[in-house]
Amino acid sequence: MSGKTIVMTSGKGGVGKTTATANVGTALALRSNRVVVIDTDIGLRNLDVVMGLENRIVYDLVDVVEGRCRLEQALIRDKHAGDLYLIAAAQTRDKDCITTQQLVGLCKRLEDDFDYVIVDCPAGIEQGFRNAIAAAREALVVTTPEVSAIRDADRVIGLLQAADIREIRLIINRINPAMVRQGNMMDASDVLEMLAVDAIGLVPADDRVITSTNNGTPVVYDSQSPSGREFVRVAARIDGEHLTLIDPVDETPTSIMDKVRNIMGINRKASAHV
Amino acid sequence: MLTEITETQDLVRVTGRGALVNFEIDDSVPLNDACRALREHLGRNRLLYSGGEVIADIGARLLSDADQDRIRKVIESESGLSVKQFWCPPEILERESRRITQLLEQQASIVGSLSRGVEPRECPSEEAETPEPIPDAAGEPVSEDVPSSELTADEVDEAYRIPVDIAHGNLRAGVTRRFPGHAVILGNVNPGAQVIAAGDVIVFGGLRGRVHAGASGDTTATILAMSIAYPVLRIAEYSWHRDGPTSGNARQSNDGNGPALARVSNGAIHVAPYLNTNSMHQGGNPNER
Repeated sequence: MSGKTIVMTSGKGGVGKTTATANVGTALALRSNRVVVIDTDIGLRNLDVVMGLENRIVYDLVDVVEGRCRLEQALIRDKHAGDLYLIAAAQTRDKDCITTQQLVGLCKRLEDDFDYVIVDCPAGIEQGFRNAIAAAREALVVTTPEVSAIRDADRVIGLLQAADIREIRLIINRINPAMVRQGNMMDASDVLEMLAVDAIGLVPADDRVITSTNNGTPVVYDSQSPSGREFVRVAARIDGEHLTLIDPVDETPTSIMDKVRNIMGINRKASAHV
Repeated sequence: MLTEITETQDLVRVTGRGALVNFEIDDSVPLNDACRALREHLGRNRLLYSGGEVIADIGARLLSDADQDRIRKVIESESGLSVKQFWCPPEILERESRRITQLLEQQASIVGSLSRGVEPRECPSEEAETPEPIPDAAGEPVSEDVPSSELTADEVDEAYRIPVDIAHGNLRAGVTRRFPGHAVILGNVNPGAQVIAAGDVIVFGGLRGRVHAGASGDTTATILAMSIAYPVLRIAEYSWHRDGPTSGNARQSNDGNGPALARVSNGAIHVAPYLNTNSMHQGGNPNER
């Protein structure tokens, strides 16, 4: 098996990298792929919490690269999806305690056993970022429709291109359709025009993400969640399916009649204009 | 003073000063060869360089940002090292700075001469006759403001030889591009990006970052962009900015102003819609000086 390493990055913190990693990883595993997600946010780990696996951690990423355990011992199997594994970050060390070469070597080994190796990158562009992107052939850049997040994403895309990662796609997270309609938030086309990379997912703002994160269950298991449905579509696109992008602004009903039509399953608009 | 010499190679010389390591890269060979030698050296000594910072001493070689990125990438991809800075002797930087300044001054004076009505001449020959000065009403010869003998054919050629560099693609946040002459950007200049040019700047895209045209002091430089949205503009010593979106309107691209031209007029930068072809049929182009 020769898998693919994908880095999930953003530059800015708090835009939903870890949530996206957990959900995309889970959705890929639910499509019968063997998936491992690696938390490289050493010192500030969160991926284990989002996946509800924090109590199962015995060995972590630093233990593996420093030879204190075998790789298999640090792989934590997910509670729900059978072929999904997590390698947690160390909580008591800092990002300089592993080197780029060590992470590249680890990802190469994992690519032999898994279809997808998804690296959750820490915020910022320092050593932790350089480590996380070193092994990746593809990058998913997560941003929100805010000017600060977009500027950081722009910087990160430039750094990824400089690192010779050519396959860069964008996940625009937390799009609020009502705010977009009022002109108080940039829409997807504004963001894409500025960043000039292809989008792979347009994820609407969704309160269910908060609940699912608190429960330690990725939101892709919630079929009623609009963000969960979009993460499932993102996974399908990563897996090679050609699905049309759906802009949450077009998908969200605006009038009572629209809502009725939506409930009846008719007149749902699918947008491909972004 | 260097206290330790760890290794000497033909093209890459590694010197140590305490915890600081210098990579001296031979400046007499093509950059490709230097990069290859650097990669081979790092490959041979991978165990030595598991982490830390280095200074890349590039000698008398002047490198573009892209070349520096290339060397940085070789070092950082082949070892655990990160490049702290690039270094070259101050006298080299000073010499090149002086040379560029002289060239710009020369161009500015020639362009000034031409704008005062001095015609470019054919290549002078020793046989060419010196034109007689035109006498004024009193019969006294009147001399030109700028003697034509100061303007050689080479100088005239030089005036038209201001380099034009083209940047392909978007300039993203954190990127600074310097141009010795005119700059043409085939893409957007995004917020956080910076362009510095001695001459004009033309952006075939949205301008949202910082642009400094006429950076050598040329107040006649202009900035042209397909749209100008909340950038910071400088022409020579003048500056101009437009505030970003307020909370009432977060959309910041396509602000609908279309192509715009910025230039210095009456001691300030004026930005106006670029009215080109239509206006020429209505009594002239308002963008012309």
